[in-house]
Amino acid sequence: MLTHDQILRYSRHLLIPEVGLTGQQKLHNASALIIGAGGLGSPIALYLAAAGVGRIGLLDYDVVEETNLQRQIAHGMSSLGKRKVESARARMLDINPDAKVETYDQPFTSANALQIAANYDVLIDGSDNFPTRYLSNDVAVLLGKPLVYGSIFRFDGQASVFDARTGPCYRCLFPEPPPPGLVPTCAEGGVLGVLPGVIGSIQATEALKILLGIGDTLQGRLLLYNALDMSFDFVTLRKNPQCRICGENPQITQLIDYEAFCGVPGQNHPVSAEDWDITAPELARRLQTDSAPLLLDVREPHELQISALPGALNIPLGTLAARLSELDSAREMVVLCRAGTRSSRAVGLLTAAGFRRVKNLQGGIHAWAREVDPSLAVY
Amino acid sequence: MPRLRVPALLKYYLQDQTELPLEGETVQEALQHLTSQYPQMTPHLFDPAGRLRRHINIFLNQENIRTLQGLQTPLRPEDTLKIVPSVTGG
Repeated sequence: MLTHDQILRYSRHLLIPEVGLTGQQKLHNASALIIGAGGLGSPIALYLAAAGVGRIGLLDYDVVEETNLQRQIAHGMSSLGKRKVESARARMLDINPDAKVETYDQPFTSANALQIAANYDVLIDGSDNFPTRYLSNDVAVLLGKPLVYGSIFRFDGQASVFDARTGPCYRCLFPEPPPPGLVPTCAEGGVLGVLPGVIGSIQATEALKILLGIGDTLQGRLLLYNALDMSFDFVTLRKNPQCRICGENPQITQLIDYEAFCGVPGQNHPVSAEDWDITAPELARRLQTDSAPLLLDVREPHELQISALPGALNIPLGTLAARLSELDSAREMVVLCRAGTRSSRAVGLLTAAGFRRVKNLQGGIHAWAREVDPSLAVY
Repeated sequence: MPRLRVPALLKYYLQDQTELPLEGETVQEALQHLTSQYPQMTPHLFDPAGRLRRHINIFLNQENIRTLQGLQTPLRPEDTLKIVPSVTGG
């Protein structure tokens, strides 16, 4: 039974016939797991707490940084350096002290995912990487739970509801992740700060509808949102009979190694300092010599307006494969980007294409700003 | 003439266009014509063996071409082809 204080708090829900006292009681008894407390996770967590979802799990192993605050509205200046789950939890409890927030300050992995997710009615994917997305999907399929999906990039957002018991799963739509490096992340390509607010709010809406058992969810449909055109488009999603986890002959019957599946380094496969890395001070020294290497900057042109090294040739990573003919494979080259991720992919691409004298500026232009030229901006 | 719509993720390989006309009787012909005009788009749609990448979905209006006739799906002048890649930001 709701208390008088709760009836007052949820008054605007109780006035909606589709929710009412019965629905609000359902929410009070319901639970949701939010995977990720970042851009998407922030509005999801705040709205589910405000709506009165009784028990909310929040999983993230990151700390709050300044670059998060442009969009991750659960966090603020006072939580810089704090654990994201604790920062978000404090904000959720400030909105609604009744919320029971269970925090998981750890990565979502094959070792812990089933055990954590089993305790919740609905799973909500607010993650920012492919291994976690495939893991979240597989956990939802194996446990027979609905998964509310959302993802964002620059001005584009996608959202859907996957429930393999009655419809398609994430793997039905995307059987495999893209090859590493082909699709940039928000950290590499940027994202409009409001975009996770829009998509995260849609995910929160879908989660509430699932918990209340009302309306038509996005199951069987993929929402394609474009903020620049302000367009909402839908395409039909169908179950794939050949799906490796929810098809007619599933090959995946337990959780797998998702970092290996996605071809990315992760918790179990940390990136080691490769032979091809060069540090910023070492590059600075080399640039003073007669045998200075060519600098190849693989960032997008607008990033060079923020900070750049003089004389660097700019070929964005996405176009590099098509522009190899512009490069002299005999000349020594140092590839750089913002923080070293894109450039290491570029080095891999160049090496595979037969370039032998290629090095990667370790830590990117950020490391250069830190260790060589502090006048450069870090972004 | 059928039209193509792509998300921001891919418009950079199409000279910043998110919508453009297509030429061809089938999806395959239209994509071949597209990639011959914009070769930088090729590695984003096809693997080195020339197969459509598994993280790329192509919808003819609302339907995934995988559930139609794949790349051989015929195109009508009023059709819109939508490329939907997986994105991971959150």
